[in-house]
Order: sequence, then C-alpha cells, then structure tokens
Amino acid sequence: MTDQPELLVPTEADAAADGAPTVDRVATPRGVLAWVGLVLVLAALDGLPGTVAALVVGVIVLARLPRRWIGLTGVAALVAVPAVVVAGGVPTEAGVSPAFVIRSMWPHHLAFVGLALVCTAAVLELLPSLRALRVAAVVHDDERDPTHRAPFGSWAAWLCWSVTAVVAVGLLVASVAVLRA
Amino acid sequence: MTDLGPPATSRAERVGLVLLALAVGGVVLGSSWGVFTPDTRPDLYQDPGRFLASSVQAWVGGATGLGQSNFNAGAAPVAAVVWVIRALGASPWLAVRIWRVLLLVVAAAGIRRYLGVVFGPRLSRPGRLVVTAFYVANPYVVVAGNTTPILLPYALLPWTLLALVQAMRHPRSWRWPAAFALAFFLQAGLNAGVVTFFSLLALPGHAVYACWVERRPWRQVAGSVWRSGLLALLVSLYWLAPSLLATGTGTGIAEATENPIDVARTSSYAESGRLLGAWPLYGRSGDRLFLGGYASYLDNPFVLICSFLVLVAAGASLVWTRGRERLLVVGLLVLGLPAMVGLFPPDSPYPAGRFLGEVFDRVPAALAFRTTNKAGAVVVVAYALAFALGVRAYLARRPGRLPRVAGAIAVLVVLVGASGPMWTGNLYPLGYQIPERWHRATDDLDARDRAARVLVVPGGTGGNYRWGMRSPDDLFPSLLDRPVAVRNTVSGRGSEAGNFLAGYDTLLAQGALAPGSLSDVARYLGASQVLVRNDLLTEEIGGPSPAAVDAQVSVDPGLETVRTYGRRGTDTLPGRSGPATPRERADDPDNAALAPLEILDVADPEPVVRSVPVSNQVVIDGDGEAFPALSGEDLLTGTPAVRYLGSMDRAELRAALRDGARLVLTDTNRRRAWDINRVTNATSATLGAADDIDAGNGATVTLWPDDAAKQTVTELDGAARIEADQPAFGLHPYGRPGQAFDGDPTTAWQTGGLSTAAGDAITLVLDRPKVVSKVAVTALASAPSRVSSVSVRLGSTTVVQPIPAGASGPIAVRVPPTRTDRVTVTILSQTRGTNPVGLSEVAVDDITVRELTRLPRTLGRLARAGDRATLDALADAPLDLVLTRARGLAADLSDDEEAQLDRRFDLPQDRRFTFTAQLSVNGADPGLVAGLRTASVPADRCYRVAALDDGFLEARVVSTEGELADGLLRLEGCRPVRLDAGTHQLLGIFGWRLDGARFSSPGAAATRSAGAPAADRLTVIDRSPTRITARLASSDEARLVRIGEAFDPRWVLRIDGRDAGEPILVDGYSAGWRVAPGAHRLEIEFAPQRAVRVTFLASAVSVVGVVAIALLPVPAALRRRRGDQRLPSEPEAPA
Repeated sequence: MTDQPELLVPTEADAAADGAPTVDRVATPRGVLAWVGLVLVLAALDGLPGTVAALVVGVIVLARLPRRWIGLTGVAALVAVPAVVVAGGVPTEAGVSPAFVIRSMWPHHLAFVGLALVCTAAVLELLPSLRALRVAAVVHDDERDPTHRAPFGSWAAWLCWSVTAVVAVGLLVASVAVLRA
Repeated sequence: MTDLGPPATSRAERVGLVLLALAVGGVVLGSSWGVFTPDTRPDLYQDPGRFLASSVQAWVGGATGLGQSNFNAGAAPVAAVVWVIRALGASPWLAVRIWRVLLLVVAAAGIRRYLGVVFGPRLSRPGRLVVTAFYVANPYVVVAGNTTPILLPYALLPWTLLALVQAMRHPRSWRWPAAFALAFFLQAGLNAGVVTFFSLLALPGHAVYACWVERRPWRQVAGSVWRSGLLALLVSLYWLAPSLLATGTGTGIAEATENPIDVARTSSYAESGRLLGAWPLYGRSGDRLFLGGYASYLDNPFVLICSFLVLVAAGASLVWTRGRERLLVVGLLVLGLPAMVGLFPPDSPYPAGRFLGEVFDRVPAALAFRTTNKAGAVVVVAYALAFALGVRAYLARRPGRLPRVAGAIAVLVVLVGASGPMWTGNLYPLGYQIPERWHRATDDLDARDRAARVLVVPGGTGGNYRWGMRSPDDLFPSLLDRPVAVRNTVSGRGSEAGNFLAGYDTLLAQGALAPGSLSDVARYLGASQVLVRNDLLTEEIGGPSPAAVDAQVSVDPGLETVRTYGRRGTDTLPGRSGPATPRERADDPDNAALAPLEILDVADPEPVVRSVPVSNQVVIDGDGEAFPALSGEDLLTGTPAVRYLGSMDRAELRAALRDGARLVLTDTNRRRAWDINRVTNATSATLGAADDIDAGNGATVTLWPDDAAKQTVTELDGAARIEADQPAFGLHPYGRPGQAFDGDPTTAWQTGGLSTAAGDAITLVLDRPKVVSKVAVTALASAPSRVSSVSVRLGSTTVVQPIPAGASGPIAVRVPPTRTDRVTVTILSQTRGTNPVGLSEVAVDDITVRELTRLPRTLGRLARAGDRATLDALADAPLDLVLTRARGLAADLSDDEEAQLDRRFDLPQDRRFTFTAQLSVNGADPGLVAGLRTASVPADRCYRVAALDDGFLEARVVSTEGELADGLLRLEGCRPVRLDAGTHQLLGIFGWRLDGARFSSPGAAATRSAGAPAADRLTVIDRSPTRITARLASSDEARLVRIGEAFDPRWVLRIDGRDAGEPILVDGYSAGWRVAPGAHRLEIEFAPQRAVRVTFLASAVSVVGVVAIALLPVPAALRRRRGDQRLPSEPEAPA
C-alpha cells in the first residue's frame, strides 16, 4: 500500500476547525439555477420520485442541515433496494419472468433516488475544492509519472519495429485479399 | 524526483493476482469441459477463415435470407485472432475458452493500468486488487459479457480510457491519440459497433474531470479528443462504411427482432444498478428459461443480495470517501446508467424515456441501440473507480488486523456471490456438441455440387435443435461451403427473399404443400439437393413434426432420396432428445421411423445464376406464396422465369406481354402482420387496406407493405368495419373478428389464450347510425374454457349478459332499442382453462356482415393508362386466375382463416375462361360424397358450386376413384365462363367449400411460348460473393438473367462493358436484368464492395500509421527540428 495521502476534500467540520468563514448565503442565483437544473434532470429521468429527490436536496441545503445527510439518505435508499426486492418474494426458477422487475416500481425508484442523492452529495461536497482549484495556479507535473510517458515506452526498439512490420505485412495481405473479393 | 506513478505490485498483491487468475481462468476454461459454448455466431469458431473472408465483403451470401448486406465487417480483427488460435491447434470449443481468457486478461491488465493513471500514487494496492477481481467477475461480465460483441469492447474500454486520459494530459502528443485509436480499433465494430459506440459515453465524464479537477484548459482537452477521434475514425473506416451501407439490412433485422419496448421491460434502475437488466435473463420459452444458468441472480437470495450489494457499495463509496475522483465516477454514472435503463418503464416512460422512444421511432438507424443494457461497461468502470476509492478510504482509517481481514472476507464473499453463476458451473448457459451425422451430411453435400445451393427444410427461427443447440444463428455457415437456402422467421420488412422463403415453408409447415411444389421451389433457388432436418426443435415454434415434413417431401416426384444420416428415431421425436426408447417408438412410430437427416436430389436442377428466354416467363400478381399454388396448377412446368406484376411499371409490363408472358392473378401477397416466434399460424388474418400491417412482433413479409393496392386485402360488406382487441399471446389468422357477424355458426371470433380473454372486446361499426333493438350472442363451444359472461354496449347503454354453462344456442341480450352506429361486445369472464375462447355469433338485428378477399388491383392500375399496343398485347396474353382458400394447418379443420372462397377481383378486359376447382370431401355435402363414392349419382351431372356475380358457377365432379378415396373432389366447369371487364365477385355456397379454384383464359397467343426452352446457355466464368463474371451464348431472343442472390438495387451489371441499368426482380427473390439478343460478356458486381475496398485500404494504411506513431521512435531529424528536449521519444504536433 502506498503512503501517499488521499486527494481529500475539506469537509465543513474541517473548514470550521480551520477558522474558515462559513457560507452566509445559501441560495445564490447560480445555486438556484443549478438546483432547478437538477429538478428538471431528475424529473425527466424518473418523474415524481426524481423530483422528490431534488426537493430533498433543496430542503437539506436551504435548511442548512449537514449536507452529508444527502448522501446518507441516498445510501439508505440504496440499502432499501435489496430489502424491498427480497420482501417482494424471491421467485422459484419456474416463476422467473419480467414480472420480477415490473411487479413493483419501488426498487426502481429507490435505486434511482439513492444514486441521484449520492451523486449529488458527492458533487456538492467537491464544489468547494473545485472552486479552490480554479483560483489556484495548478502546476502539472505529468512527466514525473512513469505511467504518463509514451505508450509502449518500455518496449525495446527491435520489438516496436517488429510489431509494426508484422502489422504492416498482415494488413498488406488482408488488403490484397479484399481487393480480390 | 518524486515518483508520481501508482505503487508497484507487491508480493502479496502478486499472490492475489495469481490466485485470481487461477480461479477465473480455471472456471472459464474448465466449466462445461469439452462442450462447444459459442459466445457469438458459431461459425466464428468453427470456420474462422471463412468468417474472416466474409467479414470484409459487402455482401454475405449463404444462409442468411439468400444473401444480404454485411453490417458486421468489424468482426474481422476478432476472426483473425480466433483463426490464429485455431491454427495453433485448438478445437472450436477450446478456442472459445482461450479467446475469453485472453479477453479477461486484457480487461484485468487494462483496469489496473487505468486505475494507475487516474489515481497515481493515491491508488492502494488492496484497492487495485479488489477492482481487478471485480472487473473480471461481476454480474455484467457473467450475463451481458457472455457474448463477444460485449466482452471485447468491455475488455478494451479501460485501455481506451487510459489512452484518452493520457492524451488529455499530453495535449501536443500524437502518441496517446494513436494509442486511443489502436484500442478503439481493437474494440472492433462487431454488430455495427453498437457496444463500441456505447462505450464512448465514458468520454464526457473524463473530459469534465480533466477540466474541473485536473484544471486542464478546455481547448487542450477538446484538441486531445479531436485528435483521438480523428485517428479512431480513420482506423475504423473499414467497419463504419459497410455498417452505413448496410443500414437498411440492419434496420430490417433490428425491427424484426428485439423490440425496444420488450428490451426495456427489465432494465430498471435497480436491475441496471446491479449490472443486470438484460431482458433474456428474465425471459423464457415455455418451461425453458432463455438463460437458465443465470437464474440464481433471481431465485437465489444469496446471489441476489450480493449483486445488490455491489450497487450499495458503489453508492456508499461515493458518500464515505473524499477523493476528487468521485467527480469522475459521477460523470460516468450520470450518462452510463440512464443509457442502460433506456425506456424503462416502457409502458409509461418518463420524459427522458419518451424522448429516447421518439428517437427510436423516427431515426431507423438508432434502433441498433435499442439494447441499452450494452452501455453497462461504462457503469462498471464507474463502480471500479468507486471501489478503488472505497478501499483506499477504508485503509486510510488504519483499521486493525481483524477489521482488515473481516473487510477482505466481506469483499470476497460479495464478489463471489455477485458472480455466483461463475462458481457453480453455470458460466455457459448454452452449450452443445454438433452430432457427427451433421459433419458427415454436410461433407457429403460439399462433395456433390459446390456451385449449387442446398435447400434446407423445414425453416425455423434459427439454429434450435433437439440435440441442444439453441442459437439465432444456424449451423450452415459453420459446416457447409455451399450456399444454403433456408427460411428464417427473422426477415426484413417487405423483403423479397424473406417473402419467397416464407411462401413455401409456411405451407410445408402447415402440411399443405402440393406434390411437386418443393422441387419446383428448389429449382428456382438453384438448389440441386434438399436437406431435410428432422432434428430441428420445431415443437417450440409451432413447426411441423418430422413425419409431417416427410409426408410432403416423400411424395414430391421431383425429389429422390440419396442418403439418410443418423440412427432412425434419434432426435426425431417432438418433445424429447436422443435415441427413442422402444416405448416411444411404439407411441410415435411415424416420427421414430425417420432418420435425423436426409439428403434428396432435385431432378433437373437449375443453376443459381441462370438465363431464360423472355418468351418463357410468367408474370404473377402476387408474391412467393404463389409459387406453390402455381406449381400445383402445373403453371411452373419448365421453370419459366417469374416476375411480379407489383414490381413492374407500364413499360415493363408492355415489354413482357410483347415477349409472350403469361399473366397469372392470384390471391397471394396477403396484407398481414407477422410474428417471428412461430412458423405456422404466426400472422394476423388478411387485413383490410387501412389496417396496421406492422402490428406483429416481427416485420411483415408482405411485399410492398405500404402499397395496399398491390396486396390481397379484406373488404367488408354489410358494415363499415369491425374492430377487435389483438390477442394477448401472439397473432393468429384464424378466428378472425368478422366471423362473429357472418351468420355462420360454424365460424367464430377467437381470442384470449392462456386465460387472457377477459376484457377483450369486439365492435361492429355500422355504415350509418340505425336503431338496434335485438342482439343475440352465441359463445364458441370451446373446452375446457369458454366465455361465461359478456357485456353489450349500444351507445351509452351497457347490458351485462351471463352465458350459462352448457348453453349452445344464441342467447338474446335484453337491450333497449337504441340508435347507434356501434355495437360492442366485451368478454367479461371465462371458465377455467388455457385454450382460446370466443364468440361464434353476435346477431345484431338482421345485419349480416360478409368479409371478401380482394385480389391486388395492380393489373387494373397498369392497364388503365396503357396504350393501344399494351392493351392488344394484354388481350393476346394467356391469363389465369388462381385462387386458394386460406386454410391454416391441413390436418386441423378448426384453424381455417377463411370459411369460404369468397373473392373480389378486377379484369381489365372481357375474357372467356374455363373453370376448375377442388375441395376436400369434408367441405362438401356428405350425401353427395357418399353418392359419388358409390357411383349412385350421375358422373357428368352439373352442380351449382359457387355464386359468381349475379349467377352461379356450374361444375361437374371429375375426381377419380383414388382421389375420392383420398378425400379430394375435383371440379370442372360445365361451360366456359364469360367475364366482362370490371369487378367480379365469387362467393362460396353451402355444401361446396372450395379449397382452390382456377379460371383459365388461353388468350390469342396461347401457343406462342409453347416449346420455348426453359433455360438458356449461360456460363459462369468466375464468381465471388460480390462479383460474377459470365458469358451468355448467342441467341436471337432477349433473355432474363438472374443472379440467384437476394434482390438489392445496388447490384450492377455491365453487358460487354456497358451499364445495364437498375436490376429487376426475377424469380421472386433475385436481382436480374433483361439482356438483349446476341452473345454477351456479363460482369455483375455488388456496388458497395468498391466502397468497402477503399475504406478497408484507408483503414489498413491508417492502422499501420497509428501503430508506427504509437511504437516507433521519432526520427532524430524531426526531434532536432522541433527542439523537443523533454521527451526524446515523443513526437509532437505542430504548435
């Protein structure tokens, strides 16, 4: 295992501990616009349950509840999916049919709402650090990373030439065959 | 300098990888040892060389619908690799396993490299190991990945993304875009590259991640994507171009196979979220699950819960970790998952689903993407990133040894459970071993006449045999070098070849093929042998029993048995496989007496490519169903060239008539909707001109589906129309709604198999509103289930009417006199039972409704505006009317579509006809039949056998004693029948249920074509699937040349170097041309092959260039000129 630190995002608790200023304005125009967009997207994808998921996000943000609750609610919804499916009855092999899926829409909606909430939570949590990155001068040091170097860079030259030659000859033969078809 | 790369592989990780490789490799290789388990078309593994050759041709001849455009050119790289595996000595079954192991190794290596690039030093070794295991053993790999077209792009997706990420990090580099193009090229465009295109859904997420998290300028990211895309496009031209050129074929198949609605029935977020949702997992045919081996995902609580835990773990990882890579996970999920879910719920989709449905409806090519589950690889990659984050976060909390061990065990348990079928011997749900008899039979066929076709009967829905093979793709491309003609129910909409093949095969399946018809059809197909396969699993598709096929084949005078293969009774008994036991032989002696395979020679076969003097041609107003009908009337003696009137314009008709063509009007090319899951009774009844021809679950094979005037349609007398709910369990032609109102208690409207009749309604719509005061309902005397109550609605009044058990006559419904134009009867309930039920009569006052079958109006339409010369030629031409009652199964008197031979037809000119007809003794007055058999009635007595316009047709019985004993009554008109120009009506009468009738008028030039040679001298000098060179011997007469390949307007002919113009439809299915008198050199080519050649060459050059860019060092001179000191081996784009 590597000892390199994880690329972390500062949480609200971290920010408070660091004495960072808390956000006073909850509903900025851009935030409202983004939320309306979220409502539209989730409603387009899953109708009323999607809209409810977007409302949950809005309520938690406006009520200044811990934003982690969004993600936790999402995980709870995801955990409920197998529970609801199993509660609906596990079919025997003779009973397997598409009815397994369409007998209840609850697993579908729970899965969607759960994923929508955890994804939204992740993005909301990342936003501050993304903003920070935007204002910071980012220096890319890709060349220090051996995986960033040219593909097949570790191959010997003779091998590279051989592979290229084999490909060229193979495709030449194939081209002749195609022209004759 | 600090190393920013991922951690090196530790010893512990290496041990884990070895154990993983042993476990997965062992399972992939060892499951179902020795059993052939193809994961795509079987011929890829059975004969990869030929598969490779055919994949780079624009036209695929052989078994599929008498040839079709190739939309699978992308299979070429796969075929090349499999060919190498086979060349190294692997048998077909082992080649499948080796290929799949290779793919999983590539997938595992790719995801490890990809994670290293995305996470760099933040990647944990345990996380990498967990993700590696997850990537090769998850529900998506097990179920969706059981086919190469999905597993191959899945395996290469991490490599593709890796190259993309690097390309965005090195904006001036061409090496990484070249690597991207290589990975994309290797994904191959199998099945028109649908899965490859789906994998592109991963690109936006990576672009956003690069811009927002890695803070790379948008322009830089866009530039990298552009370069990668350009190179990928260049190397993919070889399959992109053929796919585009074959859009019509692909769309036809897409329309005829998986319906987007059915695909979406199981793709919920819950199922897609656990990486399942592909509809075959949940589907079944009778008692058999399509993918029974994977049923544990649905019926095993442990496997079911573990698979859902994958979804839960992915969500939890997003919440409980803090890495910025979560944005990438979200970016992949927000496109991948909704794409996977598609239209769900299909019956009431949400706006996004509705939009997608509109796209499928309006953009035909988009239908290729209807199996949205194929986007799953993007979701798996997202989960892989999430799990790497999750494990990293878990370890970052520095848990003690016990929690670490517990965590590892939990991960192991979930992974094993989520890939449960892998570890329980069910990795390959479909496997079989091809019986040796098939090898011997096909070897013998190949040894006989390689240039001629083999006609295979009976047809079916693909390669489904009693000995185990179940596949949409049949055996023949794997085993036989010769071209094959075999009917497959999957066919393009209005396809001429599909129509031709369905024409005879449907009758064969119904047991209604006249002796001599099959050999006639074989000649038209250029077949010199017929292969009868008695081991086909026909019982699942409503097909004929082997004995029923044999009964028709064995009496064909044009067929002679050469040899049988396999032990009699082996795999020939419907409902069971293997050798028949003595008891089974005793119970079913007819089927047990047959060998599984039988080869018959066709007498006087015709070549595949042939020419016929134009004087020896028959012009039919109808379709492929007319061939057996005309064969039964001896109108195809000498195998004249056949043209369809519906495919001709006035000039062509005029030319054909001047050439001496015989005209035959038929009641074929019936307007029908088609189902694809059965071979008999798999259509609607003959529809009205305005009825929906696309109401079936398959594409209609009716020709010119959008031109009802060229079709035989149903017309209604006595009412405006009759509306009825479509049967819930598939279409059937019998029990048509009109039979509830026809005044004939022996016929009935039937619906509601499998207890689904409740709610089904039938409505009589009158021409104009009138006062209805009496309604009586008679239930069909079906058993065990029958209708037990109905409601009758007149205007706003609804009356519920119970039908007592045992009631056999009409039951009067007490309705108040009501002025209305609609009477609706709805079935409210039925007694217990799964059989269809129905209403034999619904009497509404004194209204009688009669359905007539109207013949195509094509001749009238063409003649109406014809010039004098055309009309004169038409008057001179021999003209026949051949009418056949639609009867369904010959052995089943209860499934007749038509109770009488009621017909309406047009004649453009006055004519005198002779009349002949035939019927079964079951359709005649029993007293008369008894008198004929005992010779107690005069032999030459004339009977009124049908009503014709305002009079009657009179005929005498001319059956021989033998025919009478066989139950056949043949009739001959007592005097010639004169019919004026205009519309005529033939109606059946009680006691004479005619099965077929023929009106024959010799015309003034009756003898002109007599004695004309059947075929002309045409010598094929050279041929390939896309090119034919032939020499036509000198002749004073023009000829019709047909190439024996399915009609496609892109076939071109050069006669002595000159373009002969667009092809015409000849012999019902083939492209052909009219060639002027004289000796000629013919060069025939499928035009798209030129584009295929060009694009293949372009792709080949591009691939070599891309490989060179990716691999070879940059020339020193170029390096110096660019002054690149940073990366000596890195070529740079111009600034």
